[in-house]
Amino acid sequence: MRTVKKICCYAHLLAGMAFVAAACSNDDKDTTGPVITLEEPVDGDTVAAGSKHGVHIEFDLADESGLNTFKIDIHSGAGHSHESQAKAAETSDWSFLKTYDEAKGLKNHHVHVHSDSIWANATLGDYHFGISATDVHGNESTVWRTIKVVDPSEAGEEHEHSHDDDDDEDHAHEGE
Amino acid sequence: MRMKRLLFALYALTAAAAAFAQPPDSAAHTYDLDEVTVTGSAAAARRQLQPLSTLHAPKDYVMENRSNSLMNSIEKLPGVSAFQVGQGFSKPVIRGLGFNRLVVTENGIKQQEQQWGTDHGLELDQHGVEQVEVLKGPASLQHGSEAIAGVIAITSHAWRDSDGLTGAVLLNGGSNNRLLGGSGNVHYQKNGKFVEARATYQSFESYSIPADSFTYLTYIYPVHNRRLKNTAGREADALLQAGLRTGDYEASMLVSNVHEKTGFFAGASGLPFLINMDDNGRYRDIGLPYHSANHLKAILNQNLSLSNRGKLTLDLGYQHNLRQEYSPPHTHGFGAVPEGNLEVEMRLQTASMNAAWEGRSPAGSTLRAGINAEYQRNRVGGYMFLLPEFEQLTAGAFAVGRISIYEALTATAGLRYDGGAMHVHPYEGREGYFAVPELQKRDGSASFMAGMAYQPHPAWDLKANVGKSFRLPGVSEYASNGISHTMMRYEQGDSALRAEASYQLDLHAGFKRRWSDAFVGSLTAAVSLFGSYSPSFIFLNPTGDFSPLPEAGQTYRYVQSKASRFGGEAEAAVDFARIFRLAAAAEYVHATDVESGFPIAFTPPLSVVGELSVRRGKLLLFADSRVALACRYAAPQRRVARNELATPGYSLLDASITLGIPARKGSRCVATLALQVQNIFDVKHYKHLSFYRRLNLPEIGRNFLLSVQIPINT
Repeated sequence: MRTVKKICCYAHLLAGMAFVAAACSNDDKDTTGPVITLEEPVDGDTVAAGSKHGVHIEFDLADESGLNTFKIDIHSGAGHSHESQAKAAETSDWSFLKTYDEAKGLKNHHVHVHSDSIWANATLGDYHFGISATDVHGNESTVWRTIKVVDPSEAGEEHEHSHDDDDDEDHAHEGE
Repeated sequence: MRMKRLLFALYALTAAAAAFAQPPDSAAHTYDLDEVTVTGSAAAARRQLQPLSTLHAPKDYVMENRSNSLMNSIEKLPGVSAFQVGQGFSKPVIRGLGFNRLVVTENGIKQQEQQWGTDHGLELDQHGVEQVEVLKGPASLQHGSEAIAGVIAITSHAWRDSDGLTGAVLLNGGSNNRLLGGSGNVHYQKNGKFVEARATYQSFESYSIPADSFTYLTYIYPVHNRRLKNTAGREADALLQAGLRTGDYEASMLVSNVHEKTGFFAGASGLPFLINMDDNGRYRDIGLPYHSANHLKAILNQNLSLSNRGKLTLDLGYQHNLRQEYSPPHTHGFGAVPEGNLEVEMRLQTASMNAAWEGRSPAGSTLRAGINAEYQRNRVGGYMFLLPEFEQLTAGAFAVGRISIYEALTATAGLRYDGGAMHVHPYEGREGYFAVPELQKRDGSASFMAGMAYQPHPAWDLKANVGKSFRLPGVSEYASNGISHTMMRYEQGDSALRAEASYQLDLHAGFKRRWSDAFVGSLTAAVSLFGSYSPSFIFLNPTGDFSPLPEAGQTYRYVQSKASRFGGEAEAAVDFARIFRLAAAAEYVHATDVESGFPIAFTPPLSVVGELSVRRGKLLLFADSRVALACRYAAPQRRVARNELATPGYSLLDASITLGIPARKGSRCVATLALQVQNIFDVKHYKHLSFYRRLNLPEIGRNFLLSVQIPINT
């Protein structure tokens, strides 16, 4: 860091520019997006087709300049090729896309939500699960995970259980 | 009213030029700052009188520094950088501005495709380049809209010194991406006529990076066998040109076609899928997504000398750009998946005309006046909407005068006005998205320059210039309304944008001295500084709101703001002990959106290039040989725009050797052999100006480049 500053300053001396101070300091501008700490789901989590509770989602957002909006996007991970379209005759690619404004202006925010229920005829397989968040300046960050929509018979008991627990919770909580 | 004022200003300028007519300019010294000094050449003298800093890279320079693409071959020039589009293709950047803020010309005609984005390289055959001249600074006066950062002027015709048949066959290869290529030309000149034909082909595999994985959006992705999958490419070019010189008339014409096809790494279009990273061992295959471009061009240059009444020039050009992006369709929740893989197609046709008259007084003052006009027609195809169809007409008129105030001091001043009209076709869109209304836009802008060049002593060369340049907003800025998969964002135009203006001050000081019979044979040094301010800088601003479409990311809207840029270049070279040369060059740019305080995207970091070379007329069995060792240093770039990654610094070492092979002792060369090793230590590094920087992908590792050139001489 110090050598960089030194080189930067030398360059300015060399250039004979008057605004040395302005250039050598690092402008202290926030150019990075909110920090997304995703707790649920983790990579490889499964959820049953037809599940009324949908995907259980829990994460924290933090940004020094203040949060703006965030978005949850779940869509089929196989929907990007022709092959998947051919076999998708009897099932449909399920998807969930929602933007939330509840964190506007906050520095920290805890989110606990459920997606819409998953269709009984949802195409089984990999789905992309993404959270994107922006701060007040438009800095953006994104976290992606791959989850699986499986046949209800394959869905683990543990999973169903955790959903039951969530029923009496609010749609989303504000943190800190 | 405005027009009248303009005409009056032009008239005043003409009168001033005439009034200042002075005794003959005897300043015939040609202290050229180029590595290869073209003593006494008209071009060098012209560069010296030019009040803006210019760089000159002749054919030999391009050959000795030949890299995977033309801009990479000349990016060591101070103030010039290359925006990397994988390997094999690149885009020029001058002092941190590129795309539609600089102009590339070939034989005087403005090259189309520069205005397109980061996924698109310069469509020119680097083997066909005779010389490259870089003009740093506001050049709207000569080139109209977009010449804000400067001009890269490429010349592809050449008259030979003597009549006869000449030509060369060049074969080249590269180790990193298994580049295989060749270019051959034949040039026949007789009695003031010439014809030349050239063909070039190259093919390369996916390139290697010195890393086994990369981290993108919190995922760690593998890079199997260190090959960056689907970055292979091909290029096939053909050129035919002819020239004629009779008495006072000179003409040359060119017809060329450049065809490029290159694959994009999976993450360059939507999210990367692990399955797309699997190594299938077929590194030369170009799979989806890929890009294909075809650039057909015809240029006619004519020149008529009116003896004591000056000179007339007329350049006519026609270009047809076919650009196609292929990618498997995304549904975006619109139901049916579209047919086929053709995502975006653009068919852009451009007709250009430059006409100018140049008069010279007996005292050496000159006056040049002219008009430029350009007509464009764009048609689109593909299942994705990116740009609407449009027609555009732009035209401008200028006058520029140069007077010798006294022997060593020349002043140049000029004025110009351009107007443009654009008709954007409506696009109805799909289910409410992507719709663009019909649009009729008219805009115009004046530009000017005033500068001087002063040689207080034959060794010194001082220049100062102030100028205003501009650009008319492009169709993407007026009317974009769609997802950019390469940037993963939703881009929206604004039809209320005005022409972007930029005011710039340039200062340049150069020094050059030679000594005969001394240890130090010559010393050259130059410093160029600039500061610029734009009250109406156009850029894509993140809104902080998400597009309602999946995978569309944030909505970015084109806005205008106030921007400042300053920086400069310094270079020095010393020739010593007859055969050695030590050269160094540094460049720096500081660019800020002064309204928001955020830095401006794609600003290159401070960089320094140093090179030690030895040149000998004879080396063992070889003739005309050169050995060089170069170091390229780039400082970290931490001044980044919103959502732009900061880039760590790096140092790379390169070596090159060029050997001339004589048929027998003391005879002419029958072949030239050139070997380069780039990034000798296989250093993992990131380039701030790179299409793949966003994906956090390191740049190309060690690369050996070998070329053999066999001249045909009769």
